[in-house]
Amino acid sequence: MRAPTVLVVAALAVAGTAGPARAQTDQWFGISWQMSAPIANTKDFTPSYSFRGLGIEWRWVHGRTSFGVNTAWNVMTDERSETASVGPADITGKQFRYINAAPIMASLHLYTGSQDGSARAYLGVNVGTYYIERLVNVGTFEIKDDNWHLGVAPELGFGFPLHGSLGNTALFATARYNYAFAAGDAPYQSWLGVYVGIAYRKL
Amino acid sequence: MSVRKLVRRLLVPAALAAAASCYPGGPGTEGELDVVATLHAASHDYSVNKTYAMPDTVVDLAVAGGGSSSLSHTYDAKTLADINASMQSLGYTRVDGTTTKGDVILLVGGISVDHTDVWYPSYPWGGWWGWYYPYPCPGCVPIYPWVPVATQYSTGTIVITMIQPSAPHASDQVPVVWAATINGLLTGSDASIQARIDYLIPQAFAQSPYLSVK
Repeated sequence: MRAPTVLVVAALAVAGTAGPARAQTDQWFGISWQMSAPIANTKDFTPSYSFRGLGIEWRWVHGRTSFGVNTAWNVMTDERSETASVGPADITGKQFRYINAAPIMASLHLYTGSQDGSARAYLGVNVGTYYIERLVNVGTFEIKDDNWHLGVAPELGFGFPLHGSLGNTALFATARYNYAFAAGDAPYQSWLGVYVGIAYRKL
Repeated sequence: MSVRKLVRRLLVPAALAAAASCYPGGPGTEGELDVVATLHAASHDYSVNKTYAMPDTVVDLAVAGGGSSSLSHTYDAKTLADINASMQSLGYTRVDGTTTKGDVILLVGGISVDHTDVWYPSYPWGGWWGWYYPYPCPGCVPIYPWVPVATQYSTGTIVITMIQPSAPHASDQVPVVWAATINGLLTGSDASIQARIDYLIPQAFAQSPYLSVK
C-alpha cells in the first residue's frame, strides 16, 4: 500500500513544483459521520433520511487543489407493512428493507483561500465504484441483490482548521450528491450525503 | 504513547464499532415475521360460487407426504372456525360435503419445519487496525470472542386450497382456483398465537376481494 501512495505523492509533488511559486503540501486523514437523504429509486426503496453512515478518506493537498481517495459505509433502512402484488400472487407481511452502500472513490478538490490556517471552502468530484446491497426481509424469507455500480459524486464542503495544540486538526462538513449508475438488475441509485467529520494532518 | 496518539489509534476502530452496533435490527416480535400469500386463477369467475364444503380436519402435510412431523393440532378448531367465518362474511354458505356437492371445496393443511442456524456475532473489523498511517501496527492482532451462536426456531405454515371439482379437468387433476399460505414462527404465548391466527386467516381473505359473492 505504501509504495503506490509514495509514487503518486512524489509525482504530484514534482508536478506541483514546476510553477514559479511553491505551494505547501499536506496529507490529511479524515473520518466522518455520514447521513443520507435518499432520492428517486433509492427513495422508493428506503424513503427515510438515514443517520447511519461512516466514512474515511485521505487527501494530498497542494495549494488550492487536492487529490485523494475515500470509502464509506452508508446504511438506509425502511420498515413497512403492505400487500405486494406480483401477477396473480398477493403477499402481505412486514418488510424490513436495507440498503448497504460502500463507495470506493478517487477525489479531486479545489479550495478557496490558502493553507494559512483559515477556513476554506472546497468543491470536488469523486469518481469510482459503489458496492450496493439491497435487501428485503419478509417473514423468515430474504430477497437480496448486490451489484458493483460505476458512480460519480460531486460535492461541496467547508474545512475549519483548529488552532493551538490542535493545530494539525480540522473539522469539516460536506454535502455530496451520490449517483451510482444502473448495474445488474438494479436501477440507478442516488442520495444526498451530509457529512461532518474531523481530519488530521500528517506531520 | 501520548494521549493524542492513543486517541488517533482508537478513533477508527471505535467509529467502526459504533457504526456496526447501531446497524438497525430486524423484527422484534413473532408477529412481525408472519407472511400471508394468496394466489388466484386470473380467468376464473368467482361470482358463480355460492356454496362451499370443508372437511373438519387440518391435514398434516408432512405425514400425508410420507414423512414425519411435529405439527401441533392445538389450534385446528380455531383455524377452521376462522376460515368458516371468513367465507361466510364473503357471502358463501357452507354445505355438508358428505351429502351435498358444494360449488367449491376448501382443503386445509399444515406443516411445521425446524430450523437451526449457526452464526458468529462479531465481524473481524479489527483488520482495519493497522491501516492508520502513520501509526502502523503490524504486530497487532484483533482479539474477538469467536464463539459461534446457534439459534433454533420452528416455522409453521397453514395452506388453504380452494378447488372446483365441477370445472372441466383431467381425470387425475382437480382445478385449484385459489390458495393461501400463512407462514410464521411457532412461538409465543397461547394468547399471542390465537391473536395471530385471528388476524392472519381473515387477512388471507381480505386481500382476495374477488372471492366475494355478496
